Amino acid sequence: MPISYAQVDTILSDRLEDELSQRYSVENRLAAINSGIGRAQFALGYMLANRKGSEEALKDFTKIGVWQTDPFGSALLDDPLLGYTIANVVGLYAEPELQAAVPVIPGPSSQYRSDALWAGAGKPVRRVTLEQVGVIRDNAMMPGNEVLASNASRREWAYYLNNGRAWLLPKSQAGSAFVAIAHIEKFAPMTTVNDTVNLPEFMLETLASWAYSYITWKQGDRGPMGTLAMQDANELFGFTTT
Amino acid sequence: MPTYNEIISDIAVALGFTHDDSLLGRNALGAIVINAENKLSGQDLANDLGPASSGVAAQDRLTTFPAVPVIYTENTNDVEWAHHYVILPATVHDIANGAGIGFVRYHRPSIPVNCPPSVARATFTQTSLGSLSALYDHPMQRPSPSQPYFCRALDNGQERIYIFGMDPQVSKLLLGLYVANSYLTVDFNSEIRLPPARIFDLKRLAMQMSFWSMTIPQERLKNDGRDMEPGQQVNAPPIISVNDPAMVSNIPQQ
Repeated sequence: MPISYAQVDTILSDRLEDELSQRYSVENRLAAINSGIGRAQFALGYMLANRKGSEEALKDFTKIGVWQTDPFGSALLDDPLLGYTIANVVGLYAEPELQAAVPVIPGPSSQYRSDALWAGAGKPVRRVTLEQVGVIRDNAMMPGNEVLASNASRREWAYYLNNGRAWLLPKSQAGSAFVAIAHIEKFAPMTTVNDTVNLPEFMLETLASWAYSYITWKQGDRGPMGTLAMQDANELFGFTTT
Repeated sequence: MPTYNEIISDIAVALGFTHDDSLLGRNALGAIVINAENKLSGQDLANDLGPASSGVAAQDRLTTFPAVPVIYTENTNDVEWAHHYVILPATVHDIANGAGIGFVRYHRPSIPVNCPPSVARATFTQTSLGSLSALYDHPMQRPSPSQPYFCRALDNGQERIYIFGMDPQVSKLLLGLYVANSYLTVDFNSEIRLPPARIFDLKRLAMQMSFWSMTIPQERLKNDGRDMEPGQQVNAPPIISVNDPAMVSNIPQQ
């Protein structure tokens, strides 16, 4: 269930005690809340990059969808059919198990396949860097290589992210193939007081604390809650606000 | 017997190679397991085929290749010379006295049941290309269809077996080889061909090599690419006995 502006504002107002003075305008509040949302997004990305967080911490953020790659083995992450945009890729699964078999739709582009429902992980796909891609191609020891690509029992998958796309390796086997992508939605910022953000409800206090920390920044000492916000960030994501 | 995948998984879990940033993937671990297996297998074969053994103990690792085509280069030139040869269908273990090739025989599939099978007929004797002139000059040892010879040699990047004394009309041979595993072709779901008692040695050898990869080229590197704590010591492999399989040579023990 998403968090609404009103929910955050209630906590903010209570802590700020500015209900009558109107010291902080709606714009101030929205900006502070959006800073908190941005912080949550960034902290999640940071956590994923470092693999320090547990999967449990991500259960409310991750979604798994099935894409069909284009003939060159790439999948456009922000597919228009998805309905939202993607902030981070958690993991890829090549040759995923589907709840029911669906045919490959011929075409020059990748597509999000809402008719292909995830039923289980297929083959693991290892994340590699852009620099590694050139090294991997002819190196039979590395996942994603072309040397063992045609040997189904020895094929190892890899992926890299470039230009908003996830590129699957080995390329010779990746064209017009199904790939499941576990991902985190990009949280859209609030623009009006009627907006919500798609964060889980248990993050309400954290979001309010972070927003409080940001909104009181102008007061110099950032208020007594500043340290609490830092503590939240640190405990939740191993990330500090300083 | 465990499969390659089971041993690979075992090592991957023990060394923490199961996450996506791990230093070695399954294929790389598999290469280490195959190398270790070939070493241990070569040691066992060297003993089982050595002068102190009848060779019977090694027969469970003998692979037969029926109907291996014989090639004859008719148009000789400076590169190819006119002789019969077969291309070795697999990489064989390098064992003293050329014992990696168990036998070479005529391939005769249509022999009546009561007759000796082709594998029990004319024996191809292994020799070297340099010794051939002495054999041809000897009236009793001269190569002939009933007393054929074969020699191993590398030519044009191929591992060949040259055949001498054979009837030129023969087009196929029966080979028995002690095959070493090749990284590119092993199916990791297949079982490892080692005696059960050697599995422990295999794991230990492969584990040592996998561990080694974590200590080079930068000894401070952690498994996931991050650095160790300043001053943290790298664990050194234990000092091993001279009798460790890693230290024992594959030369047969006299």
